[in-house]
Formats: sequence, structure tokens, C-alpha cells
Amino acid sequence: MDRSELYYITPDYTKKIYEVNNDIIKKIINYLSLLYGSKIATQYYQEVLRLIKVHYAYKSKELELQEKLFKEKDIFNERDTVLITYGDVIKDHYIKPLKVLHDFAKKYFIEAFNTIHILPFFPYSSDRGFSIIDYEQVNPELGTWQDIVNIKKDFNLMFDVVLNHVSSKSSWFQEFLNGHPYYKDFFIQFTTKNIISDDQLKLITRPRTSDLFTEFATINGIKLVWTTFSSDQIDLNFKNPEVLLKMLHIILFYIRKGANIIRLDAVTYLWETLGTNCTHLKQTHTIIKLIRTILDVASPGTLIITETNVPHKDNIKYFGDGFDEAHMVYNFALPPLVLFTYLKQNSLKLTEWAKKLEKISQQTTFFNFLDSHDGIGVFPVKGILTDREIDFLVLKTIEHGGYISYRTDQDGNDAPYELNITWYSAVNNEDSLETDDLQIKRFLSSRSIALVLSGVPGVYIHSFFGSKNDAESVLIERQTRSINRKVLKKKLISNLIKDHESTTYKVINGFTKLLKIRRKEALFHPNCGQIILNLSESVFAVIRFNNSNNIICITNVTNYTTITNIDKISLPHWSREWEDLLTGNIYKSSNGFLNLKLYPYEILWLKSR
Amino acid sequence: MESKDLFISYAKNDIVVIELPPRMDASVSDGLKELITNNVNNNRFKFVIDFSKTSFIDSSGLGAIVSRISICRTNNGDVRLCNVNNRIKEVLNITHLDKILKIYNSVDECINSFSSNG
Repeated sequence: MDRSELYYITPDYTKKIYEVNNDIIKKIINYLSLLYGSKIATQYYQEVLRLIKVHYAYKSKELELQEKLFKEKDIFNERDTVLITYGDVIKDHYIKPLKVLHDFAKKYFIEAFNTIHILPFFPYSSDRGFSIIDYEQVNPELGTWQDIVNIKKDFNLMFDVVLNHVSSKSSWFQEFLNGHPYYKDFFIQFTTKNIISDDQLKLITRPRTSDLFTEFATINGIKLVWTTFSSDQIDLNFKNPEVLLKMLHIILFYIRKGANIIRLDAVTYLWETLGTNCTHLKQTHTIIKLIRTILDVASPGTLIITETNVPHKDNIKYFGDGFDEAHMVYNFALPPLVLFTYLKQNSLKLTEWAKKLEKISQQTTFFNFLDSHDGIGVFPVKGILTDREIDFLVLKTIEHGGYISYRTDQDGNDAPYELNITWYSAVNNEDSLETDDLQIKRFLSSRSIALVLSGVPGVYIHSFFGSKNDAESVLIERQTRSINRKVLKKKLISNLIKDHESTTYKVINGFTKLLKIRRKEALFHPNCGQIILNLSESVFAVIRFNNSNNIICITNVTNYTTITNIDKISLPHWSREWEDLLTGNIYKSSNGFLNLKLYPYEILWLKSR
Repeated sequence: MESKDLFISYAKNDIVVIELPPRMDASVSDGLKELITNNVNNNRFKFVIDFSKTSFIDSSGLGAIVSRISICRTNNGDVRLCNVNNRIKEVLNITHLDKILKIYNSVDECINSFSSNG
């Protein structure tokens, strides 16, 4: 059976209605009680159970069988690699962009990736899709649900659940303005700012410099509405259980439409309580636990990934106890640390940080990305890099033609939030006299770090193409993030891919080779062990191992040739011969040491033979 | 004429004042980069960029202005702007470069800012 047809189009209520077991019911009631108190929990849990039963009625027999055979240890593996893209990043005249993407992906992405994260493809009003007008429709300018289903035939899919906020143009918010009783508590509203003290305001962690409150005229007079990200993105009020139910319905709906991975966007800011910093509150974690409980029973094998662009120590809390929150968290500290490593030609900070990474459980892993549709966040390295080191990244970014986005810190000052620049331009200075080949080597070398660390790698489409900054779009669209969101003409990009002299050709081929080898090697399974070696400041070295074998991934992060020695005692398994998976070259150890010479930006993936 | 010759530049003590042409775009940005780089190579790290004659700037012009900013700041210097009209201020605002670059009302004020370490 085609995997895009695992769910029926309509529910089948002729089959036995699903019975949710008592332990799960107790868990659901418990989480609802923690959020809303026991009285409301008793009132609402039946509705949550109904959503699960409805979802079950859509399942085909084949899917039920697959789920019965599913084992938690199979939730991810070394073959999982994710391409991150907008649905309309490649355009071809009048053909709908989702169809163009599918055709393009089958031709150029299928060897390198098994999953596509299609960034929000719903009708929207701003922020390139992250201000959703209608969660259940595909933006007709991109295509239809059938186009999404077609992509599912060849790739796993990751969908965004933009659950923190909704568009000001959405019917939900418009009905709130109209005074519709059902929507009156869908948003966080105040009649006057005086209700909130300056001290309370100062406490609130801000990811932007825009006003936290936006004034709207409603049928019931002027209201100040909570808007964390922009005046067009209205925060939903999860203190209203109806909002939670709406989102639970949408999550299950997305799974039926093909989502294998559910990305909880901006989930940090889900629950607001004055007098706190309004981030990572225990209620936010409780909502994630509730979602996890529901998915574990309703859709075993569907992964939850949390997008929390916050300091690393807070970010990893979204793993919960390893079994009750996210399966994956974005490894947000990784991009700025890898960039810092390559700009400084010094791996010390990266090595120190990576040594402390812990595996929480066999059901959790990092989403190792270096770039995405947003910028390279620097908030996550707060406490890892000094202010001076972050300032270095900021200045290098603008020297390399990028820009900076800011947030308001607790003292009311503007603090750098993210670096807006393509990864290729971030690690390379276009003004330098270096050859293209050296710059491509540096680029691929930096990218390899995210492929060898324990986790599932994610690659943004513009990095896969080796795109340089699109600085003019920043001025046209008045948005610094536009620097890395260029829409490409299919013919143009296809020609570049065919041109053996182009940067695009060399980058795609180099990247595909790395990803293909990575996907074939069982030692890169997210649950294989990991040891970070501190060999020298010129190299970054990772050992991945299982019970019988290991692989040394060593990368020269500098522009010069370096020599390094690996001691037998630092590895779980020793060998006299090592094969480089990238070149097939054999390296021999002697007297308990492996002596290695690495050329500028060279990558070695040495597997014991 | 080379594009770097489109810029009027002079040194006042250790401060280099560069007057930009009316249009700061891709046709002249390499010239500005070269001018700044030559001065940096001669250990001059304090720059006053005078926009008094400039009514237009694009992304390549912006890139040229900040092309050596980190080495300047590392050496107790900076790149500072003056006589910036509203249109260019808006460009600086969109790109958030107004949060990084200090802007002054006149060349003298900009020069003096270095001595007052402002």
C-alpha cells in the first residue's frame, strides 16, 4: 500500500471504536488538572478521548498493523536526514510550487534526504508563513493537500504546528474582535496597560524588539492584546482549554495528512503568567507532555520536535525525562558554535561544549542543524560564549554581508538575537582572494560537524545549494531574514546544478556524498555512543561507537595543514587499520597511536577494520 | 578613473574622513572597500564616513562601509557615519545597522567623537 494512503479520507465508524486504556486516561486527566484544575479536567478529558477515537477511525488496517509492529527503538535511525524548505522556494512558471518541489526533490534530494520539512504552507498574512490564517487549508498559491500527499509518497514529512500564535487576519481573531462568545478568551487581553507593572514587564523574556502588546478596536472597545512576535501574530491563550483542544485537533489532522514529525513552533512562549518571565513555564511543559501522551497512543512513531531558540540549558529541558516530552530538540547552540569555530579557526569552545552533551534516553536525540529559514541564533550560546565573543560573531557577520536581528533584554536594551546570513556567506568572505574551491572545502568541512554528532541532521535548502546572501531582498522586503529566503527559478537552479564549474554543482555533489555515506553507516545511528576528543584546537574530533566497532570523525577547522595523534586508550575499539569512508584510503596505526596529517579543512571518517 | 577615485578622502591625525559619492551602489562599492582596506593596511582604523553628498545606498554600499569593521574595532578604531539623510537612515534602520554604527550630525562631531571616546 502507498504510504500516502495509510489514513482513510473519512473516518470508518463501522470498525470497533478505539478504547483508550485507563492508565492513559489517568495521565490525560492529570495533565489537564495541572493546567486547569480538576473540575475543568473532568469536563474536558472526554473531549480529548473523542479526538483520539476519531483519529483511530481514520486508520487503515495496514497502518494499524504497522503500529502494532512498531518498536520505540526504531523511532529514528542513521538514515534520517531532513531537508528544510519553503513550499515555494523553487518556482517554475505556472506550475504550483509544491508540485515543482516534489519533482525537484525526487531528482536532486532523494539520495541525501528521507524527510522534508515543508515550512508552513497554509494561508498566512506575514512572517513568510508563520502567521497562519487557516490551519487546515493549503495556501492555494502553493498547491493542494493532494500535492502534500504526493510528496509523502517519496519522503517523510515534517509539519509546523504554529501553536503559540495566529494571524490577526484569521477568523479566530476576527471573531474575537466581533465579540463572538466562543472566541472571547482565545487571546490574552487587557483593557489597560496599567494593570501590568513595570517590574512585571521587565521580567518577561522577549525574542523581539517590537511592542509586547498591540492595541485593537473590538466591538467591546479598545483591547491590548499580547503579541510576542509581531502585531500580526496574536498569542493564543492556552489558559482557555478550548484553545488547547483546537490545537490537539490540528496536530492529529496534520498526522492524517502525512506528518511524521510535528514541529512545535515557538513553544517556549506558550503559557504566560504575569510575575514570571513567561517562558518555559511548567504549564508549557505540561502541554508538551499531554501532546506526547496523546501521540504515543494515537500515532506511535510520530516524532515531536520542539523549536525553542533559547539558552542551551533551557533548551534541553524540552526532552523532559527522556520519555515524556520532545523526541528531538533543535540543537540551537550548535550553529553559532560551529560558526565561531571556523571564523576563529579554533575548536576549543565547540569541543568543550560538545563534551558536555548528554544522551537523555534512547527515545531522544538532537536535531543537528546549522541553519534554517530563520537566522543563526546567538541567544542559545548565552553563558557558553562571552559577550565579546558574540560581538565578534556579530561584526564578522556584517563584514560578510549579513545583518543582525535584535531582541529587547531585561534591562530594556537591544541585544543580538540572531545572525541573518546564509551559511555559505557566514563561513566565507566573498571579498577575500581565496579560490572558490577552498571556500567550498571550508563550507563542507563546517557542515560535516552537524552530520557526525549524535542526532538527526537537518539542512536548509539554501545551504544545500551553497547560496550566497540575497542582501537586496532585505531592502525590498524590509526584513533581515529575507537574506536567506530567496525564491529560485527552477530553470536557473537546474542549470547551475548541471554546470560542473558552478559553486552550486560542487556544493550539492559534496554535500550529497557526505549525506549518502552518513546514511549508510550504522555507527551514525542517533543511539550509538559518542565521545568527544580534545586533540588540539585545530581539529574537532568525535568518536561514534557501538559494542563492536567505532568510527573516528576528525575535521580540520583551519586553513592550514595540521598533524594530530590519537591514542589507543581514548577509543572503545582499537584497530591496526582504519578506512576513511569518504575516500577509501587506509590509515595504519602503530605502537598504539594513529598519526594523522590533515590538510586545510579536511574531513576524515575513519572506521576501524 | 578607478572607482576608489570617486571618493574624497583625507586624514585628520589618525582619523580618515571619506566623503561618499551621490550614489553608493555596486558600481562604486569595490572602490570604497579598497580605500578602507588600504588605510587599514597602513594602520589607520578610525573612519568618518560623510554622507553629505549621498542620496542613495544599496546593499553593496552598506557592505563596503562595514567591510573591515571588526579589525577597526579590534584596534581601538571604528567606522562612524555623519550627515545621513532620512532615506539612508531608513535603510540603516531596516538592516538594523543603526544599532551597530554610530551616527553623527556633522563631520566635526563625528571626528570629535573619537577623541571623547564616545
